[in-house]
Amino acid sequence: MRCELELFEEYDDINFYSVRFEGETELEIEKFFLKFSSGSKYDRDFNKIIGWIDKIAEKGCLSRYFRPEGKYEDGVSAIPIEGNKIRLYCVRITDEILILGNGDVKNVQRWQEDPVLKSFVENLIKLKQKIDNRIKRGKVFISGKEISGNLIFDI
Amino acid sequence: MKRSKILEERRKSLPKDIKIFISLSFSIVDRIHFILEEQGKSQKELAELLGKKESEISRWMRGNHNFTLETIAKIQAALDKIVIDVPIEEKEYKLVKTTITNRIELPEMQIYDRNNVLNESCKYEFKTSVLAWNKSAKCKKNSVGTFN
Repeated sequence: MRCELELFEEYDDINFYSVRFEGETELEIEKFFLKFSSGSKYDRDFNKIIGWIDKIAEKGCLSRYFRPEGKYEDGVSAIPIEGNKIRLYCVRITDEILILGNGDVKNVQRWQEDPVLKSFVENLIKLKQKIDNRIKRGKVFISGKEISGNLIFDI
Repeated sequence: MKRSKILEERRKSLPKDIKIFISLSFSIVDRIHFILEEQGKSQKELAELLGKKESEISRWMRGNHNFTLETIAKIQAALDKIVIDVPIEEKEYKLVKTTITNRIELPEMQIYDRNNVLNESCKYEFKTSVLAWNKSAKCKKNSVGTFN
């Protein structure tokens, strides 16, 4: 699947990015937001995620705020709201760069048990590996809160 | 600065109590993190002090744990530092001062505010009160030193 990394929101000290798959009109994070319309039974959980995103925008993507999903080196985290039924998956690149992926209601013990959640996490794991490789090869550059270079990936 | 229209729309209906909850929980973990750094302690050491597993402390420290007052009190006691501080309004404060003045006959008593911290203002007030008592010969002068 071909996808492109795009700027989602920009703040003074950090940038949020997300992924747009080829031929799709929405970014992965936008699909997540559109999934939970206002007034749904998950309103409170969803609102806590928005509150968390806003706080990260203010404080930075410090590693201690993230809960690793899968292996630590995979670099994928779930936005860790305790007691929350909704999971939003993301990749922390640096303290200034966060890639927001997709997410959904988690009704299983482990994300590996849900094919939808599994695809969200695995796509992000692959994306993170590709980004790391390109950074090493000098094809993708990190400068402060910006990521640049060839941001089209086949995952 | 680029903003998402979808997210901005949802932000408009974000309940105030959720904003406060997230803000408070981040402030608490940042405060604990600061104290640990200041004291050169690790999360593992805090876990040991509290009789908890390190993984539980890590979970708390992610910025969205719903801390109970009991947990905060235990952390505060273990680190011997204020984690949260509740403001006292002027009107309420006067009542506290009155109570302190009335309890002046206990020379070994130390004046702590509700956060278990020696309150400088209270201490001053206490000292002043003791001096006033001295003047009227109701208290020995050397009692004052006990409270400094």
